[in-house]
Amino acid sequence: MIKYLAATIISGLLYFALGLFLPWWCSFIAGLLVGILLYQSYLASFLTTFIGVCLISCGYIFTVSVLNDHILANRIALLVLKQDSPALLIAVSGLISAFTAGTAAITGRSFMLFFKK
Amino acid sequence: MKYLVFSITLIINVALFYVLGTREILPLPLGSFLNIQEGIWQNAEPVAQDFNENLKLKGIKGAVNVYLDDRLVPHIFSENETDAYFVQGYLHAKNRLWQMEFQTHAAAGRISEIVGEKAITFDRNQRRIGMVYAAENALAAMESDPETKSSLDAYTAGINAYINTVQKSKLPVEYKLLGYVPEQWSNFKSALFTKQMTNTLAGYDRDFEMTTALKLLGEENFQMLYGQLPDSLYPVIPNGTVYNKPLAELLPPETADSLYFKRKDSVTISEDFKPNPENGSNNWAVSGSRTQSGKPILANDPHLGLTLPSIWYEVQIHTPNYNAYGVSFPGLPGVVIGFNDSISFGFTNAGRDVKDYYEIQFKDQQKQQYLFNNQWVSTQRRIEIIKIKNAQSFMDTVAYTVFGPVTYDQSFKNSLAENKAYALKWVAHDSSNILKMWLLLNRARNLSDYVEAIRYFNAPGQNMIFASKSGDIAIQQQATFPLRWKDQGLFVMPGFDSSYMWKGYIPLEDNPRSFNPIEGYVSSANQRPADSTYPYFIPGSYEVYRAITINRRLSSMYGVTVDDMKSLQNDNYNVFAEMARPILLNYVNRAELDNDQKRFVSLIENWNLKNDPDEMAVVCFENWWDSLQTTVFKDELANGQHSLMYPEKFVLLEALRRDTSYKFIDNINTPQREDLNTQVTYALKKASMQLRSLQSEGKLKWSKYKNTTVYHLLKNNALSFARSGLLNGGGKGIVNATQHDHGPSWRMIVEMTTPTNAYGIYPGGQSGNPGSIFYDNFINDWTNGLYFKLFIMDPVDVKAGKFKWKMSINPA
Repeated sequence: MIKYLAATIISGLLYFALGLFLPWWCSFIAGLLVGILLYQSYLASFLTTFIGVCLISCGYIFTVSVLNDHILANRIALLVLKQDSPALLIAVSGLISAFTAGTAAITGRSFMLFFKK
Repeated sequence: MKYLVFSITLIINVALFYVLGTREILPLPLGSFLNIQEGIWQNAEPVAQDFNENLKLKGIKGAVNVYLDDRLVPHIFSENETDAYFVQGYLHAKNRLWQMEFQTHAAAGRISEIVGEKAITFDRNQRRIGMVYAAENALAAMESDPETKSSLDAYTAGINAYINTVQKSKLPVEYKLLGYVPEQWSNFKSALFTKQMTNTLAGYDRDFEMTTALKLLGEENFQMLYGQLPDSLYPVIPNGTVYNKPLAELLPPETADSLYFKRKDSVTISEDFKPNPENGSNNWAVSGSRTQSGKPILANDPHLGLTLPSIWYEVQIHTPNYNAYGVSFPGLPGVVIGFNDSISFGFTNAGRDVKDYYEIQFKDQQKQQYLFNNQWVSTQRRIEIIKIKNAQSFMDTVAYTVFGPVTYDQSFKNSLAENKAYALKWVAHDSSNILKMWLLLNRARNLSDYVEAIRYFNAPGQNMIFASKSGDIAIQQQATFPLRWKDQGLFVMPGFDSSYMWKGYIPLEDNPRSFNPIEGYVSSANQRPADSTYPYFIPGSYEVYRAITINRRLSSMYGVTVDDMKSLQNDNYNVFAEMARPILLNYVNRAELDNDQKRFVSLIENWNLKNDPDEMAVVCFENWWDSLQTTVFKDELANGQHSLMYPEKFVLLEALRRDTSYKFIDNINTPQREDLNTQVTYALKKASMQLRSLQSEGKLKWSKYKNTTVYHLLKNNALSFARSGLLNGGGKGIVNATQHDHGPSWRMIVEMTTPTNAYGIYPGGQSGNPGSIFYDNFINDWTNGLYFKLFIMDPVDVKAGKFKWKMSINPA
């Protein structure tokens, strides 16, 4: 359990740290690295990365949006999602990073299997 | 298994990378757009944002302090003007960068670069009316004046100091939406901005429509429908003023009758991108003899398209030489409408026609030569390269003639015959340094400084109002206006004969003006500047009714206070309806009406003639009158073979007030002869269908019907960035000129007491960021007719810490 928790935390932190230097696709890099470096099952790789990145993304964005009184989130949600729902926009934003990171983690995990005898 | 998993997830990764990273599949690259560190979330400004900053910037000479008040208005304290303009540029960019660049891209015909092929016709139109050519001429004039050049250089450097230091993730959200990044600012872009403004205010003309109307209707009908001198005209310079006679009377060329007034062929051009003829304003100044304080009060509210971000940005510039406060244009240095410690100034649009088309006969399709004074004269050809997003650039060859650029030829309007074309003569193309006027006005101290400053302004023609603490008030209609023989320029002119060219410009000293008149006030509201005795032919697009209300009220006001001026700027009285209502009520056959129609009539009968937000009678009146106008004119003007423009609103009203058997009342398509009773009643029956459906939708109240909206500059593409459903009263022809998306873009009242007592508001906010609380925070108060007391900060206030945030800017 602790292993999974550690993987989740590492994924989130790695994603956030890489984002300080790299563009949006750092979620793929974070996922790949987690998949390669942390030995887990496919499902665990996906879930720990997905949850880690999702929590940090949604948490960060939620904080930013609350501090902004959701002014921007309201306007962008209407514009992009055609719905007056900041929560949905926050969720979509977080899920994009989380899903890309999660699938990249499976790729990384399966890539490592090539080197396993 | 591992190969399969690897392959599948890799494919998914690549697909996600592609879908989320480009605009090929989804309209937005959601990966970056919604990313926490580079996407829109970086534009979500905390409501409690701390704007304190210590900056070190290259290009600034000394230390400048900017004190921001609780409305985010900057009070720039600088030891010299150039540093003040540098900082103004920096602040404009920090708050309004996307807007500044977008507006100047629009001026230059470069929107296709941002949105792709759909903007090509717009861009071509901008190039073909010579916007870039005009800006080049303006830039040359501005840069030949050392003071203007150094001010512009500093302003440009300030904007670029921001562009060069801002993180990409902090760029305005519109760049992220549209997928591009800003380029460097230049003095040329400021020149383009002046031309964008000139086009907005002096780019409206009806030459093609009038030419067609004259040919199809004949001269007598034409004069009855499109005459320019309303009976109820209340000119800027009062009726009865005696004017100097011009040196010589101008006569039309001998060929005018056959080649100009009675041309044989018709003209089939429709202009696609006309500026809104409603672009106008109110201004007035009341002398101390009429005010409670004994000092003049000046008021101004420019009526423009209502946009977010707003066209205006409020600012105070404090230097050892002057202390100016007011609104500025993001795109230009200085204060544009405002005041300093000695004087105040404001503007309304003159609406004069300064734009004419000449018919050109090219020798062949190469457009290299055209017929002029019996000779083939060479054109200058300018290749306009229009870059297009995701497509190859479009090359457009524009021929320049002795008049100006050929706007319309077969390559642009394919309905035109092979060698036929129309060249544009427009005051906007002339070289001039209009920025100099503002730099001088900002530090003007008295009436003679104002007179000297406004000489530099050539276009767009403005009624420039003035008041000083020393007690002077003044108004002058200022620009260079073409000198014309009677009716010259109303219609398309022959371009092969030099005798049809403009005969120069009206001498500046003959521009209509009024300094310290005995009436004790001066005012303007886009009406014709002078009565028929003004000795020059001055066609234009003029308003009639706001001026009547303003003059009525000002002439009866004594002991005037700022509150009186606020009430006048927000006056909803409908003087047009006052004149038109009796016609509707006296001529409607009530016996023919059903219950709903009777109710609509009764609403109008009991109306207090104010366009107040909850008033239902306005909607009934407007629809009934519009319906009457259509009933009266449609048979003559839109008969299936042609569709001519409708006359101005005053034409029908004044015709019916003069003669209730006005010749156009009869429907020429019916055997019987209709009278006014028949048509007024028919018009109501027709309008009542629309009124019934409005009633059922709950839109019979004026504010619901009008739905005042402040659109974002991207209009329908960013509706969630707009503010709609505002409950404003007012309307066309009303002093509170708030229409659906057009109206008072800045309301300002300045009492010239010591200290200056000033109030202002605009429908927007200081920040251009839709993710900021300062984006639209003035709108509710603006809707409610409220004002902010303008905080004119002085060094004592600085010491007392009367500011919310401080930006210290020092040389790097």
